Amino acid sequence: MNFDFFTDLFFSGITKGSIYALVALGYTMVYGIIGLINFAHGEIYMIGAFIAISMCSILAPLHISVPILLLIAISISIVFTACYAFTVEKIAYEKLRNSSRLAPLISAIGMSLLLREYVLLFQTSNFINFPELLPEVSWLDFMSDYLLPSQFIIIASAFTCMVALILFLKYTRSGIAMRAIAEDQVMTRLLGININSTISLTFIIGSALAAVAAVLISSYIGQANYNMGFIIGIKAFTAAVLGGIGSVSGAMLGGIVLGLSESFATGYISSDYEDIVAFTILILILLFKPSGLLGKKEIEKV
Amino acid sequence: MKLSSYIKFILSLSCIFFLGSTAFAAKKTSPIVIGILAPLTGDFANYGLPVKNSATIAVEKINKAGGVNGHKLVLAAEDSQCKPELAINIAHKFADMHLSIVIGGVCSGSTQAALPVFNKAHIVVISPSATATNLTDGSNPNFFRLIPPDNFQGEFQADFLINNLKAKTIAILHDKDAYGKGIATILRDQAKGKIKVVAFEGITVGAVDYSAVASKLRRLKPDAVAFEGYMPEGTKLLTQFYKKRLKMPVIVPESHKSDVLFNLKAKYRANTYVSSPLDPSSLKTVQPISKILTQRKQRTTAFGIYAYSITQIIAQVLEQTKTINYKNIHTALDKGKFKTIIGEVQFSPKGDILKKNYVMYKAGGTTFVPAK
Repeated sequence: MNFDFFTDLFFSGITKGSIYALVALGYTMVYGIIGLINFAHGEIYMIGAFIAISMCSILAPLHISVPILLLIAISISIVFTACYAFTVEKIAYEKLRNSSRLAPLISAIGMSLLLREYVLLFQTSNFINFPELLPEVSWLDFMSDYLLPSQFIIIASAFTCMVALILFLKYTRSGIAMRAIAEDQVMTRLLGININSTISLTFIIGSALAAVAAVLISSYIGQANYNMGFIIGIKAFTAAVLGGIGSVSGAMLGGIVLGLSESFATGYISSDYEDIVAFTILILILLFKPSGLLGKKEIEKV
Repeated sequence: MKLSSYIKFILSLSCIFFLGSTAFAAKKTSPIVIGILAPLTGDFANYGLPVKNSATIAVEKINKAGGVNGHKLVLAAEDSQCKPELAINIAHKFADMHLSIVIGGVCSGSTQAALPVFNKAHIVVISPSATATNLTDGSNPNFFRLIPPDNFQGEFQADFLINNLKAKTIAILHDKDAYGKGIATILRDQAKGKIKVVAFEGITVGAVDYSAVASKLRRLKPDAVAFEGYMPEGTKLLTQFYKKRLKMPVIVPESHKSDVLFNLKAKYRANTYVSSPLDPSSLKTVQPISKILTQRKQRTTAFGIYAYSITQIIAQVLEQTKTINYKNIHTALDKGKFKTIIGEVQFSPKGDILKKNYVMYKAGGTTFVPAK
């Protein structure tokens, strides 16, 4: 019985952690490349969910089967979310690249408020029912005591995206360019790489991952609301810092660690302590390893 | 003095007198302003907007019938978004406007925060929906409410669990807020000795998923679960419980007594019970008001009907009191019997309504059905 409970909580934690990881990747990539904490990222995630809802409402009369509808919803959500992220970058961050560290930060906070109020005005403050887009996988029924089919789909999709990202960063020209800019922006520019388009691509990829996460988790809990980006923003940012901000594998690890610690804290202690335990773990890790689990120390060469 | 300056002096004096007389004339028929403190935007707007809309209809009817002692009633509605800090600001604003009576607040948390300000400014506050028990424990002499308090809801739920559901063990979840934790604590205290409380936990509002809580409940296997909190979290939990195949009955408080609950898939709420004061929308006296609301594309809700009744009570109180001041209004409310669309209303010395009617509804179908 005890082992059952542990496995149950473990998979709940991995599910939650996958979502945190996908959103944390957006934070960490943007920080790695331009040193900015993109506070508007949580709202981009929320917009991804709303676009999926609109899309499903439009396509509802066509009665498309659930797995295909899921793919369509995610694809269209990615396209539009990428457009939002691209626009946000061009409006709020591009011109401030050479100013003090504080200016883009304030700009990010402002953008976050703007996006949230924009959705509130043009949509509704109500909690909207999100359509059930996660298909029922029947061959997994034997495990459904520990791992629900929907949880499996979330974990599998997140894992696929993360693997795809790692391959992208390692083997494609744009991916290598991103890593190069994160390391030394001036040198990369001297080598003829287009900084602006690479940075835009970073935002686009980050927002695509957030859109995937938003569609998956909103299907799972069945609800979306204009305020949903707030909490996920804080948690995912925490996950990114926990794993080492600026490190892609750090964000993935940080998300999983955060999700697992929340899940075990709820299960073995109490839901009251869910957040306390998560943040205590964050503090402890930062005390012993200030740059995060997989982060590199920022060495300033003088 | 030169003649022209003499004339100017006379002219300006007469202007002042004319202005003065207009002011005196205005005072005779100046409107009486009644404040409304309610969430008009934000997550709780579907609790607050019907309050404003129903009170508006009441004021229109009263003004059509001649107003109160010749004065017209005017509503000043301010948006609290159920946020305590905004409610306090609005309370200060109403104090500056020298209002005597306010309808509201809608949420217990913001009402509790604003009451000290209202108390100091000697403004009477009558709420259609704030149910936190401590609001009428004697520390707020200026507060009255039409809705039965939570301690009664907690007692009622405990009663139902013991006598109707025959539950031996129960898990109590709440949202750590004044409303939810309040009811949960009373339920736990009432259950002591009669039902074993296997879990008493506060969930985080807005969390990404609740499957860990559901797993915990699956391990503990209580006979019933009670969640005390607001509807957004409640519906998320019900979805999670169904997915984790938890079959036991779930009891939720009257914050879930809304037709919005039926947007949730039926299978998720098949075994859900909603405790609520007797729904006044079914009363015959309410039908004409309901019709007007439907014509204006507005919703009829229990809180709205209570707000309508409160407006009626206010009109009757103001007619009785010759000068509008705190003491007179308070005495009139304390002693009076008022005719409203929900029947005759009398207040207890602490500010609660004397007659308390609670019903447990089942929420599995397309409407709320009283449970056995």
